[in-house]
Amino acid sequence: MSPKAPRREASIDVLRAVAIAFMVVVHFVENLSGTYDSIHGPFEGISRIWWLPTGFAAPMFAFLSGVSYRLWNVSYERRGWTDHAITMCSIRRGVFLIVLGLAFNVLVWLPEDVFNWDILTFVGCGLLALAVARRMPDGVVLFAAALVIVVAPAMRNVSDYASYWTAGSYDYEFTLSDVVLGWLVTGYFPIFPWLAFPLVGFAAAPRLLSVSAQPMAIAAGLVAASTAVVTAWATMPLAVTGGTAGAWTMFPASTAYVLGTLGGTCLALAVMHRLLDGDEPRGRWLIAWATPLSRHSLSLYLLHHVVHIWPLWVYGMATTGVATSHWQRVFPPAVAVSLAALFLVGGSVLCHVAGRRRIPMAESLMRRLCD
Amino acid sequence: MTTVNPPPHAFSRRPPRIAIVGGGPGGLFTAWTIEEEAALPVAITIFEATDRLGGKACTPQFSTAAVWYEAGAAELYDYEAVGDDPLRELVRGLGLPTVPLTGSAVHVAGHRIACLDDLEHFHGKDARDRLVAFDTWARSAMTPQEFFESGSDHATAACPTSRFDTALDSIRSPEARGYVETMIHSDLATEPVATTTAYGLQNYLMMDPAYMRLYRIAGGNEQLVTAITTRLAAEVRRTSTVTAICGEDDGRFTVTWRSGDRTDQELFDIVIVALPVAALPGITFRDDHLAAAMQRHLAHHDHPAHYLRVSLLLDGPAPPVPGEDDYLMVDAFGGACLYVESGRDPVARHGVLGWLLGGEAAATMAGLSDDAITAAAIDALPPPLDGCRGRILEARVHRWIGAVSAVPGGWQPLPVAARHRPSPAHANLFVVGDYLYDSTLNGALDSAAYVAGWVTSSLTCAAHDSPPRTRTDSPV
Amino acid sequence: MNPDTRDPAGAGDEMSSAAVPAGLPAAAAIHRRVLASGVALDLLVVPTDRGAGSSDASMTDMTGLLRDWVSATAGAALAVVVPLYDCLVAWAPGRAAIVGPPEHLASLETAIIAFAAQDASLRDAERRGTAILDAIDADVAASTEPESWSREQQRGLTSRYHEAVTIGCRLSLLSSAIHAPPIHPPTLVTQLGERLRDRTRLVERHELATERAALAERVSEASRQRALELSVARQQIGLEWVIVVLLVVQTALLVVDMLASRGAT
Repeated sequence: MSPKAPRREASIDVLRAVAIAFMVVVHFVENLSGTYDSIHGPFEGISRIWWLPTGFAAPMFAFLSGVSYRLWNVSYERRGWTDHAITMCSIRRGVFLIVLGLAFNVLVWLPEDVFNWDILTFVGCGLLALAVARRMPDGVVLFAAALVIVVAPAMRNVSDYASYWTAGSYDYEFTLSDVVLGWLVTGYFPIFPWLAFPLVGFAAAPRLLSVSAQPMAIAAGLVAASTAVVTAWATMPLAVTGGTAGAWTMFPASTAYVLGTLGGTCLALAVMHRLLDGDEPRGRWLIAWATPLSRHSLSLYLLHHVVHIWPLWVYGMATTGVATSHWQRVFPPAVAVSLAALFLVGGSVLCHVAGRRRIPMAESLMRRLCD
Repeated sequence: MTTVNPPPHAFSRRPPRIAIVGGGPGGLFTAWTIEEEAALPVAITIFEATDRLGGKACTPQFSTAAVWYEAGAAELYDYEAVGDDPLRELVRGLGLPTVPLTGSAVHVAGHRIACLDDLEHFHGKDARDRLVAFDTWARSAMTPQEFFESGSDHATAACPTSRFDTALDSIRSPEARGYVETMIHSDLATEPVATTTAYGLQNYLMMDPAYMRLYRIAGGNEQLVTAITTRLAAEVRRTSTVTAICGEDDGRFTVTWRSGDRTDQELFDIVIVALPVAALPGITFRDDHLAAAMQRHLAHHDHPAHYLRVSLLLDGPAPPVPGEDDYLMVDAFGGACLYVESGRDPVARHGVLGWLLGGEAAATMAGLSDDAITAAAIDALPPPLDGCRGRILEARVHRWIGAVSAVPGGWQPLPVAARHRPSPAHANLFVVGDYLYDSTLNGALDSAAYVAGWVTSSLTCAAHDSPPRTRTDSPV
Repeated sequence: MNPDTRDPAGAGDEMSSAAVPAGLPAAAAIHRRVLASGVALDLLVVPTDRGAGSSDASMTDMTGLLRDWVSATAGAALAVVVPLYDCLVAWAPGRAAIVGPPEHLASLETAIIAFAAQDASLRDAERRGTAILDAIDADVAASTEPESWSREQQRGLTSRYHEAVTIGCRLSLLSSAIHAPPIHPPTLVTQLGERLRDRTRLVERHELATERAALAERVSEASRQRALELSVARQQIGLEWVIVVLLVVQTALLVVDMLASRGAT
C-alpha cells in the first residue's frame, strides 16, 4: 500500500453506505412484510433478481470491516502507537461490539435470541481475529481465509446445520454445545465461513487500493471461481456437489455465495477506488451523501432496527399481547420499501447533522471506551 | 688497570653525567636518543670544537642573496621500501617536510645517457647488454635486504671483501664501465681500487629505487640538526675542544677540555666520542690501555675519503633540466654529481647548482684556491646548464677532506659491539660515527642509536640494582 | 609504427578526425590507436632532431601547443606534460602527443599505449564504482524491507554486487602494473610509464578505487544477506503462522465434531 496521509477512502464510504442502504431495505422488507422468504434458500423466480444485489450487503459490510481495520492499523502506526497499544485497542473494540451485539439481540429482538450470532457479534469476533491476523503475513491470512471457506461445508455437515433452522430462522437451545456450534457453524453469521470476508478484506486492502491492475485480476479470479462452482452445481448431480456447496444461499453461506460475493466486493472496491479516490474524484455528491452514513454505520444499524422493530413489538403487544404477532406481515413490500427509503433519508440527515455538530453516537462511545 | 665495571649503585644517587665529544650529527643523534629513551634523568654535556653544531649537515646561505645551499650532505637515504628507516621516522617525527630526489642522466664522453636506450644508441647494443649483465650480477650479489642490513653483524659475514675494481673488470664494455664509474664515483668518495666490492655495490645499487630512494629536507638538511638541538636538554659547549680523556679507577673518566685560554677538567660517568675518524688523533687518551685500544680502533678505521663541495648561485632561476632531474652525474673530475638544488622550487628567484666531487679528484682540487676550484666547476657545467656559465653571482667552496671513511678492499668490518666500544675494559667509553657504517647520516643515526641503546639499558640496570636509599644518603 | 601496439582483435589503427595543431613541424602526424578495451587514443607524433633536448626553446614553445591539443577533449585539468631528456610527452584521456627523435618514437608510443590502457581501465573502474556507491544508499535502506522490493530492484542489487566483485577483480589485475616498482636501469619506456603514473596519481587513484570497490562489495553483500535473512525469517514466520492456522482450524473441527456428537447422543 502506498504510504498516504490518513484520510478516508471515499470508495469505502460509498460502498459501506450502499451496503447500509441495502441492509435497511432488506431488513424493513423482511421484518415488516414477509411476502418472500427466498433469503433462506435457493432463489427462484422474480425474487432471484431482487435478492442478488441485496445479498451483497452483509458480505460487503464484513469485507469492508477488514479493509477499514487495515487502514486503521496503518494510520495508528503512523501516529506512533505501539504494537501492543493497537492490539489492546482492537481487542477492546472487538469485545465492545460482541457485548453490544449480545445486548442488541436481547433488547431489540428477544431475550431468547441473545446467541443468534448476528452481524454485530460477528464483526466483533472478526475484529478479535484480525487483532491476531495483523501479525501474520498477508499470504498466510489469505490461506486462513481459504481454509475457512473450504472447511465450512464439512463443518455444516458434521454439525447437522439444517436441524438448527426452522422456517428460515435460526433456532437453538440454551446449551453450551448449541451456543458454541452456533458461533462456529450454525448461527446467522458464524465464523465458518463468514470470517473469510474480513480476512480477505484485511489482506487484499493494500493491493485493492493500489493503482496496479492487480485488483481486477483478483476480483476476476474470485468471480470466475464462484461461476465455476455455480456451473458445477447446475450441471452435476446434487449428490456430488453436496447440495449446499454449489447453491447460492446466504443461510447457510454457500461456497459459491462466499466466493461470488468476495469477488464482487473486491471488484466493487477496486472500481470505486479508481473512480472516487484521488485528487479529483467523480461523483462528489455521492461521496458527500455516503461519508456521514459510513461514519455512523454502527449507529444506523442499531437505529434502523430500533425504528422498525420496537414499534412492531409494541403494536403486537398492544393488539394481541404477543410481541411477534405482526412480524413479517404488517405491511406490504411496497410500503416496507417506502418506509425504508424514508428512514434512509432521515438517517442521512441525522448523520449529516451529527457529524457537523459532533453529536455523540455509538461510534464515539466505542472510541471513548476502547481507544 | 681500571676496574672492569662501575659499582652498580654508582648512578643511583644522582643523574649520571654523560660527555659527548663532537656536536655533529653523530653526537646530536646520540644525545637525542639517550634523552628519548632513558628511563631516568641524565645529565648530558656536548663538547663542540667549533661554534656551529651539525658537522656535515650544513646548509648555509649565500651572502649575495638570502638563498640557502647544501654545503655538506646533499641527500638522505630512504630505506622504507625495504625495512625500518629510523632516520625517515625521525625526520617525519620532527615534522620536517621532505622532497624526493631523482636523477637518471649520466653525462659521459659528451653524451647524455638517461636510460638503456641512450646507452645502446651511443655505444651499441653490446654496451647495453654488458651493463644489464653487470646489473643482474650486482642484484644477485646483494639483495635489497642484504643492502639494508649492510653494517650489521650478520651482514658482515656475507659481504664480498674483494676490491671493487675487480668487480668492475667484469664489465667488458669500456663505455658501460665508464658509465658505471661515473655514476657512482661521487658517492664512493674514493677510487674503486681503494674500496671493497661490497661498498662499491652499495653505491651502485643505491641508484635503484628497489633498494633505496633519495630525498632531502625542504629548506635544507641542516634543519634536522636544528630541530634536534632545540629539543635537547643537554648542555652544549661550543668552541670547547676536548683534548684528553683519562679513565679513572672507579670507572669514570676525566675529560680535559679547552675553550679559548681556559682549560678545565671534569669527571663523567660515561664518555661518547662522536668525532670523524680524522679528528680522533687530536684527543690524548691518558690511560695506556685505553690509548692502545683507541689506537687500534683508529688504525682499523682510518681510511680517509674526501669530498669537495662547490656551490654556484645564479642570477636568476636555473634553466629547466631535461627529465626534470634533481641531479646529474657528470664524468668531469673523475665522476662528480651536479645538484640542481632549486629545481623543484617553482618560485625560486635564484638557481643554485651544487657540485659534489669525491675521491682523489676532491683531494687534488682541495689544494687549489677557491677561485680556481670555482672556475673549474663552472667550466665543467654540462649542457644545458652550460648556458649558466655567464650567470654566476657567487660561488662557495667547502672542503671535506678526510671527513668520511672509505672501505678498502679486503677490509673486514669489526662486529658492531667492538666497533662502538674499542676497549671492553672501559665499559663506559663509546665511539659513535658514520664511518662505523656507511659514512652517511643514516649510518650516523644507526651508530648513535646503537650506543644510546647500550647506555640507556645499562643505566636502567644500574638503577634497578642500586641499594635502597636511606636517610643518610644524600644525592651528589 | 610498432605492430605490438595494434589491437590484438584487429581494431588497431583508424583514421583520426583530429587536426594537427598549427605551429608544429610539417612531419607531425596524428594516428588513431584503438586499445584492446575499445578505447580510442589520438596520438600526435612529432619527430625532432636528436640532441634537441626537452629543455630547448623549441620544445618549450611546443609545450603549450601540445597541452592545449591534448586538453581539447578531456579538459586542461586532466592534461599532463612530461619532459624527458630529449623527448616531450603530453597526455590526457583520449589524446597523447609525443615529440622526440625518430628512434625514440616507437618506445614512447609503446609506453603511452600501455599507460593509456591502464588509465582507461582505471577510469572505467572508477566510474562503475561511483555508480554503485550512488545506488548503495537505496539498497541499504531497502534491505530492511525486502518484501517491498520489486523483481527489478532485487535484480539490481544482485547485479551491483556482481559488478562490485568484477571491479575488484579488474583492479587487482591492474595492481601489478600500477604498483610495479621503478625499474633500474631504466629504459625510455619504463621512465615514461613511471613519470605518467606519478603525474596522474595512478597509484593513489587505484588505491581509492580498490577501497571503493571493496566497500561496494561489502555493503551490497551485506544488504543481500540481510534481505535474504529477513526473507527467510519471514518465510519461517509465515510457515509458523500457517501451522498455527491449521491447528486452530483443526481444533475448531474437533470441537464441532465433539459438540455435534454430544448433541446427537
